[in-house]
Amino acid sequence: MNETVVEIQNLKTYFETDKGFNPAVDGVSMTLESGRIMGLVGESGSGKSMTAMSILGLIPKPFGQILPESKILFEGEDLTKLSEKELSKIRGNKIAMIFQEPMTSLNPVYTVGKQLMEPLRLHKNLSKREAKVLALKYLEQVRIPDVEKRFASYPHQLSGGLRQRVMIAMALTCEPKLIIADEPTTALDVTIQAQILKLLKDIQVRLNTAILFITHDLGVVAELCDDVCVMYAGEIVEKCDARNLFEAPLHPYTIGLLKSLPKINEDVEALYSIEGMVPNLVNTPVGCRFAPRCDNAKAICFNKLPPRIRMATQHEVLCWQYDERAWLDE
Amino acid sequence: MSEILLSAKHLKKYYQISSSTLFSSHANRGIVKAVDDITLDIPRGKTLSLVGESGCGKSTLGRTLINLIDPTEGEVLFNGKNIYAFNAQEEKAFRKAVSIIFQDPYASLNPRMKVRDLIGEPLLTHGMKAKKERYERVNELMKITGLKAEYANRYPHQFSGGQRQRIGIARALALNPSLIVCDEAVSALDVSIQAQILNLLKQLQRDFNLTYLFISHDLSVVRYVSDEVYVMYLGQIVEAGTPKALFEKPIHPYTQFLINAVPIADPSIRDREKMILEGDLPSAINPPSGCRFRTRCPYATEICANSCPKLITQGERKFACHHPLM
Repeated sequence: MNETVVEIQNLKTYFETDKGFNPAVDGVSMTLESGRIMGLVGESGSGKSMTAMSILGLIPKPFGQILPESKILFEGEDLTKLSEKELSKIRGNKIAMIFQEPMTSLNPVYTVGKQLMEPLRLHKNLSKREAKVLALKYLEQVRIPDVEKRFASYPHQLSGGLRQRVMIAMALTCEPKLIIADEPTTALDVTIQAQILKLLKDIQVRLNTAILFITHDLGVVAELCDDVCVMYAGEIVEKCDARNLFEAPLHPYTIGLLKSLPKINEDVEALYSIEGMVPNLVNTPVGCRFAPRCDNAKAICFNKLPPRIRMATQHEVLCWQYDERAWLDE
Repeated sequence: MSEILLSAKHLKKYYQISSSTLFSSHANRGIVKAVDDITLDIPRGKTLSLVGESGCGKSTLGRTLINLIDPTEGEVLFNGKNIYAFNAQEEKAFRKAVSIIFQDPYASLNPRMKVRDLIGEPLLTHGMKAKKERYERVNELMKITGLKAEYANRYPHQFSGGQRQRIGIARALALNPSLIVCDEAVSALDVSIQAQILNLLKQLQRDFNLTYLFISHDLSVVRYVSDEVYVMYLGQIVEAGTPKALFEKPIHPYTQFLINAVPIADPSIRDREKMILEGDLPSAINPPSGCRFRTRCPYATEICANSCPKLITQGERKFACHHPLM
């Protein structure tokens, strides 16, 4: 019952800067399936948001560019090749997005209701009355109390949690095939975050949508996602089933990240920390991008691009450590 | 029992909401009780944490405790003396003895100043006029906080978030303070950098016998750094205790909900029974009568609406609840 909704192949999004033409996303491939939540984790600057923006064709032009070898396949079409006009028929309709900061992504001068009706009137050509009926239905679906009142409210009259619910209702209005959620709970308190995560899970189960969930929080991935991609410096360094990632992480970066998390359910004497920082992509290292911070780095890691290795159980890792060629000369 | 460095007694900070706004003259008049009758002791050389959701008053409390905000009522004793009654000279000595590390390392450093002047500024203000001496101290501070000496002539925009936070820490350390308020000091950082900064803070505490008031909304971080944790809800302390006791056996229902809401990086316990708190934080302008948590509390009964529970001390723990979970 899980069918492929979007297939990203070798996505490369580069930016023209005064220091040259540099990658933000560098060769990302992933498959998003209906009824599954894909977590995309990484630290700031790893390229996770740019991956999402590339899907929707929202890369800032003319500085940003998706290289011609990239493919984003959706319903038989390559999204990277579509015109602006064709893309606008897909955005907010078949592919919807939920942003991090609901206050800046809602229009402060329109009521919640007006904003909710907009995609319906635009994409589905509904009359005002029909759109209102549907909009109220979606507000109820995201469990907003007192829908009639909220329909007439302005964004500033709502709390952060309610605003994010409105954003989710908006994303649902056209029954999208894919919802991209970019750090949707990062700005919220933990108690509200728990409510929103539960809501997203319910929606995904009920509507069988594909969700691409972007976050920096491994805890959220563990709670919510079915699959997960770990990004580092524009590349996916590890891809697997969410359970696998936490039980048997393979990439040294993932292992380090998991060890550096403070835990709420146990006392930790000293936290492990990954020394150094994320490389800037102006001068991409020649070999593995994580090598300068890696405890297990060998000479080969600094000289040659690491291979993408597929283990059993569809566990993919970008690392020399799992390739016997790296050990031959020792 | 270690010596108490800072101690607050019945501290209150109320804000009057103005009676008119730009668009209406009959707006809701009221008082926000941001800090409402808080008593706490911070022992020397330890870390005391304040946790709670946004708007619970933890930052206001932190700033009132070091006299960055005038209190409405109550007193704060620093080494036994009331900080609100200091004369100019004592005030200056107090400013030297306490410092603060802010959340956003991008906003808290002057973009037009070089690192060595940023770190040297508190030294200059407090009378270290000779350049040579000052820069020597700056170099020493940069070494302590893990910044390379060649960075001294750079500007803040040339650094990453983690390095900027190190600059913030070096600045806070400049005058050999005894108390440092860390207001969400690691909240803006990535996990791998957050671990570096937390370890640095712990190391500095051991080396210089520092006392921290650690303000954070992140319970996992709080568990890692604290000796004692205070949980706040709408301006009041609802529970306090050692991190182990508090996180493993919460007494106040709010603490329990808060802990339950934290995502745990272990998918094998994903389907555990989770208690999710419904609704939002009530408005601080007209907080619920009696216990302020009662509107969201599943255990609330009539008494909770009628009387506000007092903070009771039992052994090492404190809680304010009519229906404690014990």
